[in-house]
Amino acid sequence: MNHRILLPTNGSLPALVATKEAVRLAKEKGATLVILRVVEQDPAMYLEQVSEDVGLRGGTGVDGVIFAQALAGEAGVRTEIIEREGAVTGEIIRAAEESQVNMIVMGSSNPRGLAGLYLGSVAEAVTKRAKVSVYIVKPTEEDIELALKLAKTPLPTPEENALRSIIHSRKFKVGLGLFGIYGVLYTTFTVLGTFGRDVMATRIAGLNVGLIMGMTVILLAIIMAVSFNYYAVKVEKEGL
Amino acid sequence: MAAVLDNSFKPLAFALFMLITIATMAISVYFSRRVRTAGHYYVAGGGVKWFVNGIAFAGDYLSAASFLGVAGMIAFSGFDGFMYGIGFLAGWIVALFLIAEPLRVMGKYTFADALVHKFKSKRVRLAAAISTLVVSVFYLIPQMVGAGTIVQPLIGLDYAWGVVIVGGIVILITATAGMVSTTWVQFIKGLLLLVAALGLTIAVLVLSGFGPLEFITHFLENGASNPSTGLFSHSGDVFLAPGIKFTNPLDYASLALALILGTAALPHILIRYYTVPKPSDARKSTVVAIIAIGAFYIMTLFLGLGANYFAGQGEFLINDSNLSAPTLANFAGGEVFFAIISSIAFATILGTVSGLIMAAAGAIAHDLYTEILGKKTNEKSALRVSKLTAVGVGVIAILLGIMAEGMNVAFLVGLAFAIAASANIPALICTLFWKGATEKGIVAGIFTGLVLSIVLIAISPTMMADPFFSLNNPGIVSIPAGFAVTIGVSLLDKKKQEVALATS
Repeated sequence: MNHRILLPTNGSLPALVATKEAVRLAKEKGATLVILRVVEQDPAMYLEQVSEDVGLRGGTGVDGVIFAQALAGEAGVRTEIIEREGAVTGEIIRAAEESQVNMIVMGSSNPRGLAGLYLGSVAEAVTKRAKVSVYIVKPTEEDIELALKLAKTPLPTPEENALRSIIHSRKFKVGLGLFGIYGVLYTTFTVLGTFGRDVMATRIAGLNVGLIMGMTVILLAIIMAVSFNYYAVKVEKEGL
Repeated sequence: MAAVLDNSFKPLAFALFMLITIATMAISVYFSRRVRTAGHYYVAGGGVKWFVNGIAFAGDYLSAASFLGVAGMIAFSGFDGFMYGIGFLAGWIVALFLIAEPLRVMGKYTFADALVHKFKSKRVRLAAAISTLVVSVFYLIPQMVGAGTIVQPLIGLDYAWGVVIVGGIVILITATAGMVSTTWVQFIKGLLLLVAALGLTIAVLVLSGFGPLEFITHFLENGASNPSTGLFSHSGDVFLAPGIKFTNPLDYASLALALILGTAALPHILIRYYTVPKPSDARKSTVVAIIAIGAFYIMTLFLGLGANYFAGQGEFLINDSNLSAPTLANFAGGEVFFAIISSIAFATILGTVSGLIMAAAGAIAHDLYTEILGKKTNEKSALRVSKLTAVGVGVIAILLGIMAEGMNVAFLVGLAFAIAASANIPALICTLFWKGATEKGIVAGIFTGLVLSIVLIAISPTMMADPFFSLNNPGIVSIPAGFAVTIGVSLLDKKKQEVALATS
């Protein structure tokens, strides 16, 4: 049977530690990792967030979903991504039921040593209401250091993301295709100039093969450049 | 009676020359007032419009190599010269489809920035800075040769003086203003050069009385002359097919590879990608450049063949292949046309040289001084270092330029392209498109390409009577070697890292 593990994450330190554990578990069981991010809309939930942030050294500035994807990708674990808006606890419970998971793995938001600030834990609330097992990961200092380190190394910068989005865009692939056509012609021109000089000297229509090919290579460059730009401008206008 | 261009002092030519040079300086001074920060100095604050930047690309690129060198090579070696033009343009296709937009996204000021962005390593920055510096110096040599050659008949000065004048003016421009002025200067000169080439092409066709294709057919039927003697030495079939210059067929392939990969690796071209605000503007300027440069090389064919044709008709002789286009201008339009054409050529050289010196100054001041030595004091001192570098590189270029007297400039540029392609292209391609590239691989690849290409040139027929390496252009060996080392070292490095991780 296909095992499914739900991982709610907000990019906080406990969530990152839980991510590591969830990926380990998913790999062990050959399970699919369902990554959930909940964007809060209800201002009343704000207090809950504050209590977590205070207790757990605030946010890490890490995109929890991308982090989980990267980690899962490395481990060869299948992933699904769910994004929800609303109250955190309720959305976690709903997502767990809708996507039929067998288990929820999440970080403990119980702030150690700051019991006085404790206002209520999402993990605790989920445990009470969930119909499946909930694995609450309590991070040790070591875990936190490790998760922080992990979070810092593999994540790409915005520039790298921009580079990747350019390289994977259709526009770039069209460019590559055109480059391929040009490359074939230029290579033919080079190979003939190197090994087929008699062919290059063969006369055609008052000119010879070499000159006609040379002119074609130049004109093709211009035509390709102009039509590629025309295409690219159109694509950019459509905002693709 | 057929004669070569004389080297006497010509008042009218001199006046025109002064006018164009002073106009260039004035533009620089005007724009220099707007240079405020180091960012402005290097790359015009990222605010240059794409059309201006595109023509400036052409101005940078067409310089001495094309107008003097390629036209001259076609006049003397026919098809093999045309091959240079085709290869020079092909490089822009690589720039357009593979490099322009990705590179614009990754970097801030220099080629090294883009590499460092990925590897966050000082060693990568050091390697890229050294490569930028070396390639700039090698590319400066043909520019200096072009300048020295052209001042002799233009204003009757010695070759060495021409080199010193160009070096001096450019040092002054770059040490006072920076990239904004060179972009505008290059734009104006790119435009002038295109107009001049068009005028000269029309003059060739009108004076010979042939249509464009008919003119080429005439060569095939009647053979070609040797422009330095005026005697007919080649049949049309030999002249308009590969083989006169590239006696070793592999030299043709080696040059073809160096040229198509070299353009995208030239530091003064790469740095220009950062002068436009957006990646899409980088693409658009490349397209403008391709149109302008492509049109120019087709015209160059007629300039070169025209020079050969009229030399064969006994109208003039050419003693230096670099002077083919200016000599043709002198015949077609007299001293005034000759002076205008030569002054424009001289001015383009000025612009190209300043672009190169800017790139070298950027490498030293920004990459070495600020980033590697960690002198993050302030922008003022970084700017001072880059100006000092401009002076230093300028002086070195002047000395090397004087030493390289008499060599064809397109040929010299072909060597600079081979070095640039060997050192920078493997690093650039692997950084942008291959996740497996590692810091060590990139550094090893850059140094392999750089050192191997220079060593192969040093033991080639160009430098030695009894060469160890039989090809004039090292590209076909050193470019694949650069790729092989970059990829090989990266793979080994990665394996080592994995072992280290597993045992830790």
